[in-house]
Amino acid sequence: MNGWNGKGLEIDLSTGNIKEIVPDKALYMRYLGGRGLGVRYLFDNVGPETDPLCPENVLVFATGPFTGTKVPTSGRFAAVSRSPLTGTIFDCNSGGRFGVHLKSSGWDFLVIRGKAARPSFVTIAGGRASIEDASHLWGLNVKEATKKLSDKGSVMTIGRAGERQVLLSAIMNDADHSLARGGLGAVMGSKNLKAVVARGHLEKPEPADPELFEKYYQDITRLLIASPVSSKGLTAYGTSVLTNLINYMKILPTDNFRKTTFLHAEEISGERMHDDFKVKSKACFSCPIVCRKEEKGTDRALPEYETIAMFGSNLNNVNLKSIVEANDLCNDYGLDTISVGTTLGCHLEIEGRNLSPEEIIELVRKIGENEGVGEALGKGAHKYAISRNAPQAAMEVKGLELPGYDPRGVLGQALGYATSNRGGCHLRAYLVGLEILGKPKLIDRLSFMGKSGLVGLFQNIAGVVDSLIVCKFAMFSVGEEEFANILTALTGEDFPSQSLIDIGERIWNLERLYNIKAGFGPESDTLPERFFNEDGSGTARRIDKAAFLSSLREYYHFRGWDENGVPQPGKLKELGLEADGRDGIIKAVAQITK
Amino acid sequence: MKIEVDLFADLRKFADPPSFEIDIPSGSTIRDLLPQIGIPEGFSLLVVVNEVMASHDREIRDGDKIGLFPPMGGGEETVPDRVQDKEWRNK
Repeated sequence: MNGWNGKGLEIDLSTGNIKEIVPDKALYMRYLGGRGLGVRYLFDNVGPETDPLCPENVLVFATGPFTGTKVPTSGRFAAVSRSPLTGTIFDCNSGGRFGVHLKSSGWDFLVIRGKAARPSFVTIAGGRASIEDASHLWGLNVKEATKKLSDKGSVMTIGRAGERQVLLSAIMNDADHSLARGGLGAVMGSKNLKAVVARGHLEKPEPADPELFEKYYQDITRLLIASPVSSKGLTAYGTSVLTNLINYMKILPTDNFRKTTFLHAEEISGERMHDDFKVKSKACFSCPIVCRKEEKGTDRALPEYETIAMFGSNLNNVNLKSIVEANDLCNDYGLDTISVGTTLGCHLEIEGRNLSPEEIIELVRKIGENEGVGEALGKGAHKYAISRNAPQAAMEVKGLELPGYDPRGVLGQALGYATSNRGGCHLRAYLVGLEILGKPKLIDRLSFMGKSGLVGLFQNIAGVVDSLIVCKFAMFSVGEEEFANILTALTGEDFPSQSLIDIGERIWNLERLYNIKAGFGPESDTLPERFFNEDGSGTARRIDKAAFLSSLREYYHFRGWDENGVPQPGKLKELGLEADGRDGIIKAVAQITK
Repeated sequence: MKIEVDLFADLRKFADPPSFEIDIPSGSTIRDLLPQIGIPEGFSLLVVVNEVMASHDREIRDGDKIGLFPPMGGGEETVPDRVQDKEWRNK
């Protein structure tokens, strides 16, 4: 099969057994790889009653057909598990180099199950995989652990936060790339798995039709680099350039989402970062956008926009240096900067006072160490706010902390947050492109009109983008048609563009079914009450709840779900989910709809 | 009529200070405004007028607050080099 190795590895840490899995070709055709493959595996093998931090939970790391090819922005891989933070099915994906090494080591995916008796790490190289003792690595943070293992290949590891099963912990790869959200680092820690190191032989996957592949590659590259002599926001400044733009539109989370504009945005902006720090650029594998920024000399990663919003304006913090430090500390402990920042916002509101820059850094450290107040904060905003008897201060959806776009000023994004299968996430529908940046086309961000269909469509596209896998930034310029063309040239299989959207929809429905079985009903498809009751700044007025609910109903209808948001047998049949047979999907739906 | 203009990121090379008031004839559009600031024709940018993204044909009204931002796309002309990872190239 061109585009895939056609096999993966199942590593049981309890028994030490490692076996090769060879999925049916149909599985690849229907789920592609990455998120899709992982979600399918989890649905079939990990029941929604499974405690996410017990040995029976599974972590899937999966590449996609594009991983390791020169398709722009495709040097990515996904992780899928049941999240200990949200209880939902959960996927993340990350760039850097690890995914490329994994794929070119001969396997498309890894399934990690069980729990090792002692701290362990997995190495994959030269066509072999082995489980090794990690006692000498346990207790190290990400930078040091990565350094100690880097002679063996590309390193994916947890820091001390993951070891301590902090629910906001991330898995880091290639030092500062992250599978950030949902506490998947804690899942790895619960398995006594410190790291996975992969060294591939780095042979490029051979396209089925090299000439056509090259043609479509040129097409995609042309679309990404639409006007090469003009100024380039992301390439020149990284995502931090969004800070001033989002503030200008008055949707910048400020003071724990109690305001939507920050008087001192300029002081924490990407422009200021370029003035105050020596910035250099770093690209993920096969990426022409080059959005990552590092500090020259120290090589530490500089914060992305989301981190600036959550540790800056959302904490009323004007000290850019402290945001850079907090970002670096989160990366080293292996912590999700969005969730930590938003949880600290919750803390700030409950305490009724601002946190000093020094206090912010100290709280990050305490969360990473799981000590003192950090232990309660490390459980995330939802549980922390309840423990402080102030649930209204938690800015989250389905237990996942909200990121850097206030939903009151981007109503499609608001519906996207509410309906996301992994909770308060900006990337599942990613209407930021349409509503804020005008990419690929500008739509009215202050209206629900037409948004239900668009949110559904973009969720489906994101599902396939996360399975191919390419970066979400590619969605600004490249559509499903270009992806379908190059996938067809790569694999030699016929993938019409509609088939990609169908794959995304299949993945979305499967995730939804999992979450329903895990107890998430329509009442969880909502936003914190603040957004319905309080105005933000400027045009970011409180959201009309009746209009929101009407849009939600329309969304369910558009998706072929009933009024409770349950996928109907007709829809599942249309998506071919019932034909998948052995998984008991139909039985599951029958139970749900009883 | 008087309007307020704010420039961001590398558009700041066109004016110092980057935030200023400017007098323009009534009936002007964004397209008319850009050369007055010294921004060359065809320079790609995002325009925000009073918190809302606007096109170059948007007619400017008295008192408008206009922000000019770089486009949030990206890409380097040197893609062929960039995509060839060092390890890959040495293979």
